Amino acid sequence: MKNSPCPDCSAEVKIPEDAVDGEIVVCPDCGLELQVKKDPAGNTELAQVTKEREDWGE
Amino acid sequence: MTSPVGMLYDQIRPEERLLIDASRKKSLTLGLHNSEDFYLNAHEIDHKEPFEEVVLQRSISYFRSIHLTALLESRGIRVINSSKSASLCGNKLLSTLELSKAGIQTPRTAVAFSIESALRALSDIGYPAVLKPIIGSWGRLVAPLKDEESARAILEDRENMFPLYQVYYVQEMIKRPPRDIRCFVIGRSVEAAIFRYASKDEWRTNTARGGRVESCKVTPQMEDLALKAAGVFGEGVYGVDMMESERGLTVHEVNHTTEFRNSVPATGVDIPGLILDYALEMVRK
Repeated sequence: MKNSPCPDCSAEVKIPEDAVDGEIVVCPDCGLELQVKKDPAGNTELAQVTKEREDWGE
Repeated sequence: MTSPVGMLYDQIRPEERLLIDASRKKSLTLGLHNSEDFYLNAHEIDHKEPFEEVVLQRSISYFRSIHLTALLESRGIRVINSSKSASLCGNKLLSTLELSKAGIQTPRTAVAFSIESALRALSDIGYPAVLKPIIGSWGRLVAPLKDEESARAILEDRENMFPLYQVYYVQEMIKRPPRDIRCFVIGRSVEAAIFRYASKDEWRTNTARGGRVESCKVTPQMEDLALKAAGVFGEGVYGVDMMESERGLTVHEVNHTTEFRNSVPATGVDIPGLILDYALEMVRK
């Protein structure tokens, strides 16, 4: 389990070891949904997630 | 050995996570492809492209999904669901036409391209009615039209939006209990069904709008109707939505990238595992 700061409130967010690029995690402090971004070198950061766009859905 | 099954995605939401976890239980390495991480040449196929024989299409974006699926199909890859079925299911008018052609009962629907024509259609259909964007999901911008005054106000608003919202798809408001039914069709079987209850102060039953889920026993009528409705779009994985109207079960939507995060705990059915079994069956075909 790695930690990364929440881009909104700076709280430490745990990123599961098996999280893949694009995985959604939730900040335990502010409740913000965040997306795990992994680069080819394996570096991980958290980005604010897009919740909804006009053509999104089922 | 490379994996025979892959998954295209925009985000790893609970559904995609459940599919990954289900693949591990089956000792299957699911090939994962973030749709933002690559490009595909339309004319030449690079044989080093990393795609599997069968790919589950789980993009949340409708436009991304149909175009990406078409590109994969051009390479001979079997995509669940196909670009043809996704194109039709993701467009409410085209899917209504297909369902209607197959003799499946759907809510009475009309389409107009101006406010005045839409009001004439509504006067024919009768109030209350519903206005839906032809593309979109999760109940987004689905508006109840209670009378001509409110209909005109809502239509005027739509005139200031993207042109897609000026295709006025209007439908009768079906008298139904405060719930609808979703049947999960995987291949040739209805594997589970749920009731979706609208949340307090909300008429839409979409779980994305807080709708509550309960397990629903699949009746022979539901099973027949769900299989017939899904069959219209070709074999695949679908969420067939129907309402208990005064005229009997009425299909209002067939979803081609169905969500199941709430349905697995409600029904106890391993929907992601069954989807993977179906994908593996397609590999062997």
